[in-house]
Amino acid sequence: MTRQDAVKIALAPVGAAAPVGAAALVAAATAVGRALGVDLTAAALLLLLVVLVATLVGRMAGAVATVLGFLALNYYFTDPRESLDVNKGDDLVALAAFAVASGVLGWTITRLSQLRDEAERRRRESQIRLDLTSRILAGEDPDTVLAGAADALLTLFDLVECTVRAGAIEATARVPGAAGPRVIVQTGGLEVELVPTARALSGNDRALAEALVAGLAAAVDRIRLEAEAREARVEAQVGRTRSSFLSAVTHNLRTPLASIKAAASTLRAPEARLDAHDRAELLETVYDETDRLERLVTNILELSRIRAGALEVHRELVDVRDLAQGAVRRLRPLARAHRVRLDVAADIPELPADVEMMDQVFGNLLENALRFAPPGSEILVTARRVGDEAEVRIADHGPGVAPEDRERIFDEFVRIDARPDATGTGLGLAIVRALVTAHDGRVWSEETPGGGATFVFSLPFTRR
Amino acid sequence: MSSVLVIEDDAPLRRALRTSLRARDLEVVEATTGEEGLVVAADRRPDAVLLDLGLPGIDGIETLRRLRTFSDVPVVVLTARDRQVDKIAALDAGADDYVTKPFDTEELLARIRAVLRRVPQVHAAPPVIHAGAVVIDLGRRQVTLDDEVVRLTRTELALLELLATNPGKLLTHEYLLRRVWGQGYGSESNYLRVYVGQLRRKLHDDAGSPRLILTEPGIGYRWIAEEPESRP
Repeated sequence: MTRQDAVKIALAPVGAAAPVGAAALVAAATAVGRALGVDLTAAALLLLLVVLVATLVGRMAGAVATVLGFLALNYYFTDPRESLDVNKGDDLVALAAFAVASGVLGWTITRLSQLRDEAERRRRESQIRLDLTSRILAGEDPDTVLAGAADALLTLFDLVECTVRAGAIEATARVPGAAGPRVIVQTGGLEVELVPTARALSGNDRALAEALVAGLAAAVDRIRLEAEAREARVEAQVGRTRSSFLSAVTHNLRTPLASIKAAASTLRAPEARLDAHDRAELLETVYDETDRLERLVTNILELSRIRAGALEVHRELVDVRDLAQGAVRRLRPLARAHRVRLDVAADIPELPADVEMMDQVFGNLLENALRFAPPGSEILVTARRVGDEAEVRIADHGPGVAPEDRERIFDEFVRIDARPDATGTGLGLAIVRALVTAHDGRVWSEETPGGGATFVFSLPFTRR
Repeated sequence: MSSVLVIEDDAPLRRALRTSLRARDLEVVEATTGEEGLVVAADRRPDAVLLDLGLPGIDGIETLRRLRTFSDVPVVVLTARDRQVDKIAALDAGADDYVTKPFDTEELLARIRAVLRRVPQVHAAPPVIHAGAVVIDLGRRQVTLDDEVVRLTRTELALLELLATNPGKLLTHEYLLRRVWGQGYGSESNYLRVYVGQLRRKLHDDAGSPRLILTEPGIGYRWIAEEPESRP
């Protein structure tokens, strides 16, 4: 409250000195005219003076100069001298002509300069609005918009400091210089503090600042709402993903459980007529499905740990060849019917990676290939250097992945295995993606030339 | 020998079901997708269908809808989802009963036998239904309890007839309301609560251990009275 009062006082007294100066000029010109003893020249000089004053100083000074000039001419240069009486009709006409001419000229000139000022002000205003608008549009979140606005207002109003405040966030732009009286403009939820240079802010500028701040407040509101809506959308998406993951987990756990319970309940049912073969088959179902359930539980736990960020990546320098060979060795029992060929480029440096995690990435991808590729076919594992990344490709000649499934296949519980005995958990590739991502790497799938699926992952040599 | 069509995408479960059903003298035909199931159902005309709701491709509910356009074969749905809405959707789409995974095959067999028994009764509903001491004479529209005439309102009688002519079948709230009250009804399950309560009172059926009408909470009602032929 007190600050705003101070501002009003500071802004009020502007240019009281101009008419006084005009009066002094008229007095000086009169003195010159009298000293030279001329009268027509004096009239012309005074007229010129009025024009100049009106042009350079303004309407008020022009009017003062006109009145004083008229009085000076009348008093000093028309007979009788040193009196306001006029004897000759000629002089009366001259005086009247002077009064009218200087009055009209003065008024016209000040009007013209007013119009020029007005145009200049409007041009500057639109420039300011334009600049501010572009800064608002450029900003995506309230913070950058406020900073941009503070910056724009600072340059445009020639301030030494400008602070824009919207609720809890604020931005200040500052340049060195002497500070004038502080102006505060408040609109909507926005408060703007303008500190002009020693020269106080003009009334026009203040009005303009208010209009701009009002526009800015609306823009900030809009941006804040948009940011909130965006956040809400992201949160809803996360929630949906989480609940769909949970329902997928439930569904996937129940499926092997259903087989186990169905088989076990038949085995112990007194009325079921089972031969030795039936019994063996049901027992095998119980056994296999218990395995599947165990794999599922392990994978789900693993994936949950990675997703929760609870799995720490212990990076050490590892050799890609060692990793690949280790996985091939481990999967040898499964790979008996296939030919697995390893081709690692000699120039690959060691990778900063978690050995256990990479082991699982290789293992899951290789197991996948072995599961799909027909017996006797070749599975080719290659590793080469591409820029500052190592690229590992595992190519099989199995049924391949349809283009529309190549992205989706890395999602949880997505199985594209259409074979009747398919028992995958639908989590292997999801785990691969999570592990590779934890290493700042990427994983994708392609078509093997000649048919089949190729899974590729790339890992950076240097930690990003 | 009755035949059962099993529509289930999970191979191990399909195998376990095949062995379990065959061990109870049921012939088993199999399908892994809804589309395949519809073709087999039209082709082989099974006596009952065991349908998994979580199928790839067209899902179980859609399969059921399409199946109902050409067949009224009894259907028991298998669902891994314990959500009430899915069961109700399946029942409203024309399922006769449901079993939630994981299930005991004894329980499943009981459900399958119940729906298999229902078949001849639907086509040749006996004019008189005996349920313990209760006798429902559909032709004369008269109900007696221990040979005493029970006075029922028209709505009570309609509800009782609908339940009693669908023995063992789980009828949803919506189905009962639409059939007894009319097309505009479907969500007024409180009406059913009131009318079933009145029927139980008049027929001396105890809601705590019912012999005639069983409440399936949140879903509907089921006529569980003993079959006439199983009476002495």
